[in-house]
Amino acid sequence: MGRRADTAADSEAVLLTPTAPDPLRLTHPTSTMITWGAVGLGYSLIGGTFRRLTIPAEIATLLPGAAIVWYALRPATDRFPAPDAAINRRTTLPWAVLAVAFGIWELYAAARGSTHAHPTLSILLGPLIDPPPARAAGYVAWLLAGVWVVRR
Amino acid sequence: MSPRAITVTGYVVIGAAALLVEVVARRPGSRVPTFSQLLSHVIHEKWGRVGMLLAWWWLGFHFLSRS
Repeated sequence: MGRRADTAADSEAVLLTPTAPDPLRLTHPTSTMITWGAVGLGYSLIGGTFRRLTIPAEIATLLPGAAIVWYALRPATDRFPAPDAAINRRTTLPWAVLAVAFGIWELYAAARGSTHAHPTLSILLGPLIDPPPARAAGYVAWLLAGVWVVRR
Repeated sequence: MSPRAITVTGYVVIGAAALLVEVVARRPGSRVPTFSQLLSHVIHEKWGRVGMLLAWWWLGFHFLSRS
């Protein structure tokens, strides 16, 4: 009886414990990957047609954003195991310096009004990502980045 | 040099420096983590994961919807 209870508990624990997912291998796509890839591509092409600063454009990023954040934070979502090698914080100094430098540069441009003379990065990139194909490519890149975060 | 050129140059310098750090990090025996390793490490902390997701969400909203 006790053994049966242990077995049932073990089975339940196995079901509830997140397991490491298979890596996404583009050379060996599964039907699920192809389906979600097609959905993401279609969504990106449609999202790319929405003009910026409109409600459809905002919904186009809010909805998948909410879905991916919810999916990523679910306890049952499969994740890769943590990296083996711990990172020494001192070795991350170059990245920290770059992040601070970028933040200061952005804040400086924003404080100067984010004008033509002092553009923030988004103002600078605005004309480049304005055409629908470029916006669609932006959606593809953004969604892929979201999937990467979920899978890590 | 115009203020705009100076601002753009600043972004280019920061981008080039990031590229340089990445190249250095990928050299054999380097102690500096690559950008991917750094993000993977941050993401495996609970609040790092939450922060990274919110940052990703904001980037999409800002660049694709609002910029």
